[in-house]
Amino acid sequence: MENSDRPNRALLLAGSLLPGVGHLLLGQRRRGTHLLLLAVGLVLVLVLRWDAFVDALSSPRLAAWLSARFLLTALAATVSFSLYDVRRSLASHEHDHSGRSPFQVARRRFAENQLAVIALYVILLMYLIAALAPILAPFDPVAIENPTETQYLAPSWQHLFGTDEFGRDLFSRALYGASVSLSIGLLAVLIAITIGTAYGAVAGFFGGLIDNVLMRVVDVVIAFPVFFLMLMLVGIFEANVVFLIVILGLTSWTGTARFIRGEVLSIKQREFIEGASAIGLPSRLIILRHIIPNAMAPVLVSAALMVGGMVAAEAGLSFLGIGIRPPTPSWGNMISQGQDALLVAWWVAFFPGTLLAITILAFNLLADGLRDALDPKTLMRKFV
Amino acid sequence: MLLSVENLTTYFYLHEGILQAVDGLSFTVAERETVALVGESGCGKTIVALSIMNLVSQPGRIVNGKVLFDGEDLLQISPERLRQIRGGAIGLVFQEPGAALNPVFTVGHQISEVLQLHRGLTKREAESEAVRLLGDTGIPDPERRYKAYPFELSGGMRQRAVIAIATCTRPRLLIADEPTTALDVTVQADILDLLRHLQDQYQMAILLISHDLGVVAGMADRVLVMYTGKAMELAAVRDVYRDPRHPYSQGLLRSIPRLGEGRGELRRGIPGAVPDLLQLPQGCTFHPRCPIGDSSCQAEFPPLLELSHERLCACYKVNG
Repeated sequence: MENSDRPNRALLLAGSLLPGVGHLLLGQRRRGTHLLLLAVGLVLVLVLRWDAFVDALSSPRLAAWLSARFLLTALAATVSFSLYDVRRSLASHEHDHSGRSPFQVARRRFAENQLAVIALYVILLMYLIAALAPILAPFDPVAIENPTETQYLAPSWQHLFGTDEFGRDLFSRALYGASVSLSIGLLAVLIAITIGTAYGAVAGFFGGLIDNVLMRVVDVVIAFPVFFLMLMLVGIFEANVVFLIVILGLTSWTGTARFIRGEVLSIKQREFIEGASAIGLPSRLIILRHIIPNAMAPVLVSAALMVGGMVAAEAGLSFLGIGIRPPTPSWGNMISQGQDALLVAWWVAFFPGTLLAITILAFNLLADGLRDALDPKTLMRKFV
Repeated sequence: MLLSVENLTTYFYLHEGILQAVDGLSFTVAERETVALVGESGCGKTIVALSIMNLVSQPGRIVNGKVLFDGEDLLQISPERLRQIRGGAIGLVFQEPGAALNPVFTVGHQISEVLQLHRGLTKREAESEAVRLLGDTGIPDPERRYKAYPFELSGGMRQRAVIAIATCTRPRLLIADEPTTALDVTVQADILDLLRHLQDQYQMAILLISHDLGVVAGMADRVLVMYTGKAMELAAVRDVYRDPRHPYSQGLLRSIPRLGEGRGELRRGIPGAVPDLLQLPQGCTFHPRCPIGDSSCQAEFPPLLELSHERLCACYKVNG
């Protein structure tokens, strides 16, 4: 047994230098295919867009510079993770003694929901493309050259999504727009979830007067007309990406805070929280280590829903001209720009609109899948 | 004296009125001694445990009394000092081992947490120590169980894990609140053996809370019989079992079935039911159910008086 293992092992390690091959040889088909596809995709980008990559490496623009670093890091991470993972599963001899956490159980259940898994892939692919936009984009998304010659060109191999009234390549603009729209969605939700979770947990855990005061503040924030606040702020400040992230994040944490408070109220009654006090854990650690992890499931679901909502909100604001301002592309202001030319050049609004719809749909499906996977009640329904 | 509870009074302020869960209770626990709190469900045993740890939460409040642990009043000291004692010098074992463990962390993680908090171990040290402690509690294959989540363990193993958490800091007092009630009989015996073994090893005192007189007989040195939040009788375990004085203690002991007893013979338990704690009878709260009680018992609750050496009883009829 020992001897026959050894050459096998060397082969596997060598194979996993090309990520995923080791897993495929070990029979872990799913993981192997994923790693292999990811690695091949990244290498293809590197090879096919070599010039753009070299430019981006030494680019003074932060987005391009980051994008090139990201590509290299992603490749390195894929290779080293693949190596590490193959070695680990060889070492443990397939017998992993560690138990399955509730989240691992949920992950397994999630994997059975094909629609949600596809949605997850779509989302991951979108973010990958958005991160690599400066390398992938064939043209400059902002610069205007020869507008008279290239204005409103229909989609073709050279301009996949056609061109707009200034002759800019819409495919490139859509890629850059993706990085703007998607990062606003994700980061605004991160802010909202972080504030909401901490706020709701504190209110629910301490209860009494603290709870009352904190929740009345939430009522006030909810009652505040966010739309007019934004109109006003845009009038005062220049609306840019960071500004939108902060504003959207700071105005949408209230829902999370409310339901986290409710979760905490019920978790607080459970005996292990009393147990945590009985072993002398300070309140701060009880909230962080014992309450919040148990309240995480609904947070994940609502976060997924919120990202879709945030992307839509950004698009709506940009469409109205109070979000991201041209020439910086975002899906919202691209659609807005396209509506004037809808009869002459349908493609200007069509492609960003489609991308927007796909993204929001994918996030909603993901949220559905997460809810089914994390909610014990839906599991029960299967058996009834 | 390791633990000295004096005139402990815990009330719950409900919409319906004031519920006197624990009312003027006093007792002591010496080093390495095992004292049992005995009584029917709802007589305030668990609230005594929570009050000692100062863990009573709204709408309950400790309105009076002292809990002197090694001379410090746990109801008066600073929150930081209290946290050091909780889980440090005093461990607490809960009735329902499934509920006492956090479902989203491994059992080992939860032991390590206490070791890091109270013994200042590093993560790695805590991990190997936790595996060792799990092994000490008789859990087979402790390395593997370390990584198990609570729902993957049986009830008995969970209770062992909870005991490991409660004793990992070598506490001087272990409060065990119905430690075997949720377990089946064979496992009960193992858990009691484990508690006795750990008591010897760590020289702990144990405050055992139970409604199971069999469990108490095998474990305790002294017994405090409680009824409606008050002490009825406090004596050495042998005295209570051989010669219970208080009519309530007598009733409790009579309700244990014995081997060799004729089939179909009715148990002469205690007539009636535990009164509503919001509407306690005047005077001695037991007198409506008491075989020897009469109108003289309705005036005031009888004082807990010493009958003979180390034997206290709260009954007008017995005390004369």
